[in-house]
Amino acid sequence: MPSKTSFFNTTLYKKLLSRFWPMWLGITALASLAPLITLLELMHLTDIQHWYMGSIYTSILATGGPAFMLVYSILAAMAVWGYLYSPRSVSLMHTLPMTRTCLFVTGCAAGLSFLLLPVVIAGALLFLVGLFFGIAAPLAFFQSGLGLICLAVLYFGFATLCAMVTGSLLALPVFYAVGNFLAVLLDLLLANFTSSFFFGVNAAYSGAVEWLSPTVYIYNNVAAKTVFISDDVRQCTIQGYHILFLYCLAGALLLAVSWALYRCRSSESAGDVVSFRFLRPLFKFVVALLAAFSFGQVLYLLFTAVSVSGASLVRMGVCMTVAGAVGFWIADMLVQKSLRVWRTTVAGAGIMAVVALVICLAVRFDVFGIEDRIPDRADIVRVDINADVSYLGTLTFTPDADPEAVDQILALHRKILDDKDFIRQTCDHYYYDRYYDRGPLGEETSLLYCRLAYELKDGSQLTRIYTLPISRSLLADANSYAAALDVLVNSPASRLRQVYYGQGYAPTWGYINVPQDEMDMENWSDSDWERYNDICDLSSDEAAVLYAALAEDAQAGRWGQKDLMGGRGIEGSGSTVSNGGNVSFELELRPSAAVPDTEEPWSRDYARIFIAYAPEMTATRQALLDLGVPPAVLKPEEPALGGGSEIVD
Amino acid sequence: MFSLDHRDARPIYEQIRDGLRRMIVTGALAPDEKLPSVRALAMELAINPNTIQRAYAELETEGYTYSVPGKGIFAAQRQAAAPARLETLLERLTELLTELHFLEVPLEAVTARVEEVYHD
Amino acid sequence: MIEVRELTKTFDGFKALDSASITVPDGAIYGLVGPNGAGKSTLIRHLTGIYRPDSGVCLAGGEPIYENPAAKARIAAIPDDWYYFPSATIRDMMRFYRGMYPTFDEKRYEKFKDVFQLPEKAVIRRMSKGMQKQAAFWLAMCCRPDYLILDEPVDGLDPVMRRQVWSLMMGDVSEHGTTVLVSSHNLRELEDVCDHVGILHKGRVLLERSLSDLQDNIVKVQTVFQPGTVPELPRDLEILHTSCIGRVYTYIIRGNGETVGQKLAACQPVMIDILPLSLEEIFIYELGGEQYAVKDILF
Repeated sequence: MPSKTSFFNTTLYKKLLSRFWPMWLGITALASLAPLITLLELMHLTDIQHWYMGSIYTSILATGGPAFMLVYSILAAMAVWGYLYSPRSVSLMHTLPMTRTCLFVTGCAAGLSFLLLPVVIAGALLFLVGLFFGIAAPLAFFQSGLGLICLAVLYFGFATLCAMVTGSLLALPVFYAVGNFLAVLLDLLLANFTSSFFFGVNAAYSGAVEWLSPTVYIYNNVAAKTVFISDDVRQCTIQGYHILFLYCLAGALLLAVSWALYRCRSSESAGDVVSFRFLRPLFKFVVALLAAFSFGQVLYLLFTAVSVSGASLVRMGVCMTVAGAVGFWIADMLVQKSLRVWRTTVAGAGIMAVVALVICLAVRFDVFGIEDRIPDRADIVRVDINADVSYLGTLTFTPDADPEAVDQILALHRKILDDKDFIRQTCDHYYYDRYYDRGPLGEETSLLYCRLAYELKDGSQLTRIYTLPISRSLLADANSYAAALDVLVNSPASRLRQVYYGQGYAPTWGYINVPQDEMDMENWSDSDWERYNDICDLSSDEAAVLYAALAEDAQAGRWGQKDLMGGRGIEGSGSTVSNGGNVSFELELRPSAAVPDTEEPWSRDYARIFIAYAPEMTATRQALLDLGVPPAVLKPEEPALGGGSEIVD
Repeated sequence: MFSLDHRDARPIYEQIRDGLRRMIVTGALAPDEKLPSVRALAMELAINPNTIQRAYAELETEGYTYSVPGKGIFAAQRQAAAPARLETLLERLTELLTELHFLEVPLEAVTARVEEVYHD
Repeated sequence: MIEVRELTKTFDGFKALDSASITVPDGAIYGLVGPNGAGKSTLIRHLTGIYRPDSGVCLAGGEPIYENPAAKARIAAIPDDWYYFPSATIRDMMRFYRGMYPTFDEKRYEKFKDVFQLPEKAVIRRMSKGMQKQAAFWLAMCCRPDYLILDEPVDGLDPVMRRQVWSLMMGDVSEHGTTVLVSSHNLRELEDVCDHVGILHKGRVLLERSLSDLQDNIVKVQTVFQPGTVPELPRDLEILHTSCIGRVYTYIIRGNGETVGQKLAACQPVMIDILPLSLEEIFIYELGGEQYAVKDILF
């Protein structure tokens, strides 16, 4: 008998569930492996911690949940809405005495049932296993269960929206897959595009619209965390749990939109790729744009690989137009279900050409001011600078602590931008002509990697990566970017930063490497060895003394001078462990402020520095002597700046 | 009960009407015998009940049948012919006689046959 | 009563129905005829609630059909391509229909088992097309609909089953007043069963009459006149067609047989024969007066 309510039809619901029993029963069997594996594992453990189940529930949700629901939802949607894609079946369904709303609600109920039956059944089994071992964690259980329900609503909602928008069973999973990762895909494509053409921009991925691709966002922002409270007390929580609720709301919204679409959908759209007429132009342009950005860039790479010049906006424009036109053509053919779509395709290709032209012009004239953007001094919270100079590492400056350094960085940045055409041309020339002359500057030139990363007050970041040609004459020119970089890298602030001085670190431990070739160790007695070790091992006080001396030398410029032309291969001073016969030492630095005990002990912040002694480091020399290092070892006659003596590779 | 000839150009209701009339005239349907119901005949012949209805109505007009409300339709007793029917029959007789006359059949043969039928 | 008024439907620029209007009285058996592509199936899909009209109304019992479960519950359709769930048996489909239609009669289902002689536990997919059609009939009739809509219904059924199926439908029509709408190519068959006909051509309804109207008002007259004379025929006789072989003239005249005969008698013919026309002939001559070429309509 038909049911009394007009929003739900029991017969149809039961029919859907009985028709697709292989699917949900199969998935349930698969999901039931979880309780089975857990059971076997628990049986083999002798010492079962009470928080095990909790962590199992949370990690199932955080690790497996999104992927499971992502894939299963589209299967459920294809099963439930499959009747819409064949004229015969849609005829039957729409002839039955049910409103569209009733069909929709019943279909959604069946689809969500498909998704949640395995969860409920496998979940119940898992809970029983936990109960059996006395470690059932009901709170975590319900929390994870609720989380999975939220994910089901989200993914099924999106799958249903895709189902309503298309009339073809094959197009449905394609729309779903692309739609799920579209935001991330576009982000990557855009990043790739801007990296090719904007000076200094080397974005990998901005993540700005990551939330539009829930799977990626959830994996990056929702995690199972086990909080250490004491040795046998842990708390299992989900970090970012509220995100799941927000997505659940989004899923509900998608279902509401799908309902509205279904009521307007015409039965005769079965078999069409896009079922609503007003969506067809949108579909064609989205496909064309995606094709232009993705295959356009692929084409561009192919052509660039065989060309002799560098980045070319014109070439990119052409590639994008061609790829976009092809994309439009394919989309047009799909929509019109015919191979003869020349007229509309030409129109579409024309539009793609215009779009490509506009984009290329926008890039060429830097309409958004991306290339020339330098943050205001007032907006900077922090700035990092990296340069590929031997063992420079990353130097971090803040406007409060190092106002001079920040100013120097801003000045450097400005100089780089002023000379950007020169830099670009030189680099291009360097890459493509290096076999024919000594480089565009007519002298020895090296390319230096330089990265500037600003963290701004509004939470955003500005990162620029430049490849800077450096030569002796550029270094000599006080107005050049090379000189500015030189000043910055070789400033006291920079040197102190390299040894983490003034950043709240204190040495806790140290070790002096005394070179052994000068000493006749074979004839040493036990007390000789004892004395040797005593000298080499440093207590925290001894390490502090040495550290202070090092800082003094660094401040004065007796340690840490870098040669920008040096690059990686040549050892400047202030580097490496194996410095061919010279004394060196290492210090372990820990933050001197107390760090709260929220993490496991081994993950606390610490730094290690390796310093090679050189004779001009007078303060350090004195400290080493005071610590008992034999004077003979500290050779005063060695030349100052590393000039090729005993380089050990 | 009887069969329809689909190659006959005559409308179906005419065929049914004529067929039933023949049965009444020849005595296959005795006076006061019940005719099959509209529904039963429609199902047996697989034709539209309205067609059957029309045939029955005409038979009643012609006087061959009478209906009893709630009970059905019955063959009528021999009775005086309706004028229209009489006219039709006499016309047909004229046609037949014309042909017989054309074929030079003697009057005696014809009258002999007439007397044979009437004395039945 | 089924009422369709000014129904228009366009598919991607192609006008399938162009202000089509038909009326099917209660208890009638209405034949919808027309060449391929005339729009019969499209019209039928509107009557079963599958399509929404672009303009115009489509009513059953005074109620619009689209998105109206109350109206749709009284309508059963047998489409030319019946959909059944892929692994369903007849019994499965019966249970499905039973849950959907409030008037489904399970006793009738049992009774008809002997009539249709189909194995109810067999998978429908493996049956022949003819048997599938029979199953569709079986289930549709068990729904006890007030309106039965058939699209090319008896194609694929053997003559015995055809007759059986019609016979059952006739029973329902006469006993329960079921209204039937049949679309078909086969005029011969429709002649037996329909009492109303409508012709559809290129989305428009050319003609819609009751069968008796059509048959009573057109006659074929074969006549021979006095030798030597071809008299002028009375002016008030609407003659649709004239042909002559030797001295035998054949006229197709619109009008009642008796009145036509009387009028022609005035011309003193030697012989006059008034014959009825078959449905096929009626269509040919009725539409001969319209602009449509006869060969377009002949099917």
